[in-house]
Amino acid sequence: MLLSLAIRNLRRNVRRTLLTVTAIALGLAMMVFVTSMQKGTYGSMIKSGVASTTGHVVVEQATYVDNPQATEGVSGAQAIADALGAAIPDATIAQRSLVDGLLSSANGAVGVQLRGVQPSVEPLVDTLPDKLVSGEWLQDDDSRGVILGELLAESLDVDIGDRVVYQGNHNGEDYSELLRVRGTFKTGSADIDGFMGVVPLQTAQKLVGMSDFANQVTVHLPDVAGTEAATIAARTALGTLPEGVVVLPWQESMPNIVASIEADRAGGVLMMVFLGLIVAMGIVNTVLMSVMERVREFGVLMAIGVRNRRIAAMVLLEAGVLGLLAALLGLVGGLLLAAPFIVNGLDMAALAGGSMEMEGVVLDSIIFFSIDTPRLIVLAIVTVVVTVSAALYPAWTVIKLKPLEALNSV
Amino acid sequence: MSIVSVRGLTRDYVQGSIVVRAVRGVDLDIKDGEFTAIIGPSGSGKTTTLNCIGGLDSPTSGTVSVDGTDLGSLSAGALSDLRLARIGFVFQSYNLIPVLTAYENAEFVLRLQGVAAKERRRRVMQTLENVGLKGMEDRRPSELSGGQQQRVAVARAIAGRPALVLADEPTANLDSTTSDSLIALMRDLNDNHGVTFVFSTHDERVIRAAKRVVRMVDGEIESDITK
Repeated sequence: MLLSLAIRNLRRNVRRTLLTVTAIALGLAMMVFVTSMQKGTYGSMIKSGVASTTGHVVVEQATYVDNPQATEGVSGAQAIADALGAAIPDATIAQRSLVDGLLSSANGAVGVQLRGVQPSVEPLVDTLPDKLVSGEWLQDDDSRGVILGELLAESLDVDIGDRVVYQGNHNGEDYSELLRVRGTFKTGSADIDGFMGVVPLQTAQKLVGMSDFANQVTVHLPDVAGTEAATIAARTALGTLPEGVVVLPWQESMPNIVASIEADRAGGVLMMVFLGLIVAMGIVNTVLMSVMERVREFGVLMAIGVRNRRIAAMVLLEAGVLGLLAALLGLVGGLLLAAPFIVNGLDMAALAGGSMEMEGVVLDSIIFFSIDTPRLIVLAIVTVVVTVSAALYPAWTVIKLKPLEALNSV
Repeated sequence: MSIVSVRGLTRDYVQGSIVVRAVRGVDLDIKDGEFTAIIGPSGSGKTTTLNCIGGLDSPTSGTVSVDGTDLGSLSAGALSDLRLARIGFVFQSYNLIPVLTAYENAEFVLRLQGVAAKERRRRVMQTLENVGLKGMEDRRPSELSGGQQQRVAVARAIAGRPALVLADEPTANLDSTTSDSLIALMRDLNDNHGVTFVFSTHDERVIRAAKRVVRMVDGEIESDITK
């Protein structure tokens, strides 16, 4: 009976009801849109970070996360990679090293970071090989080949086929190597394009005077959801590891990315709280107005024997129905707004006027929004709860009403 | 036996720094089956007395009992329950619930009382027929004339089979023909269905129809005549 009366009361002033529902729904739709964008962005960050740095699971020195040194790594890297490949058949296993040093040409010298990769494996796990703008990707047996960032090549004033010399000092030993430019890449990140090069893994090993060595042996899964199982499988397969070597999931090997996502998510929650408060104030106003208009009617209800609490419950029910309608409309509206970006993606590079880089990871220029179903359910529930909560004060004013005062109100 | 027993009823209102005594030590008994009009000039205390009898207002001093229950001993919730079970109200300005139809307005009290659906329907249809609104069940208050709305209000007041119906100036907003018709209806409900009515009124026609007339002046009962 109360529900039926509540619905009829809402239909009594259709325009006000629609305006209120629309205001709440718009707030929710915006949250749905932002949440979908956030999930897409986080997914891209994780995907790019995983692809270009640590994989979903990584075997590395425990100290490497905080202090990445070219000589800190895993000896017997190939055996570890083979064991991981056997234990996690659907994964791609890569070996990677990072070597700092000076790269010089006849026209200048630049401090660089050379990334040692397995040329035939890297295209399977990272998008960097797709970002070549000149020349060709490396071959496994090309021990002198180097791919340079486009800006780095410009700084050194070198072109395809030109020679560059690497010089570095590791563990107190000087190393130098003659390399030949095979190609250039462009990620859009000035840091990466201006100071990074790529060499075959065995070249990187040579540059630090080690063999069968990599800073990281990375496991790349078809789906990020398999991370936990793969970490367990990797730990089981590798058994007792050499001292200091650990198997880490991406959440632990890329703490900066995780922290960045958490911080961004917290910012998003804060924004939603503010938005929720603003919407709630609007609802308080609307419901209070609707209550004040009906004080005399409530007096009649009291006179014929309806307890104040039941009338207050009716007011809360009205708010609940408003909230439900708004939640439904907001979810549908938000998803419709996000749908084009779920299907076609949003060109963040175009919006940002260049590539997007977060925590040293270059994001895909096109961010595909993603539906965060559990979060949407929470948002819808919060919408209803906030709407009903906003009606608590008006309902309280009803509870305090006295029949005669209510009947005599204008 | 008295349905209503009022003893030493006094009601003061504070207006700013002034205390206005609206009712001064009224004693009054209403017996089952009465058709009583409380009359008097404006400010004589008749509506206040009616409100205290209905539990809508509380005495400053004195007691009001309905069916032997002292209203002063009841909580707000218990008072609501008593009104629901034992008292029907008819207001000067009808005060129907605008979003409900005539049927639903009359049915509302029965729903609150928890009467079963089948019995509810039978009683509401019978009541609407008794008040002359057969065929108008689905009309909302805005689709009814003033007289018809007041008939719905009477139907709502009596549908729950209360011990008494309190009517505050029930004909004040009606034209003479409609008033006559409504008075006849209430008198018929009193004569043939045993419904006890207590009115506050200025209307000579109501006074003429009343079986007992209580005249109040300055918050006191000046005369109490049973015809």
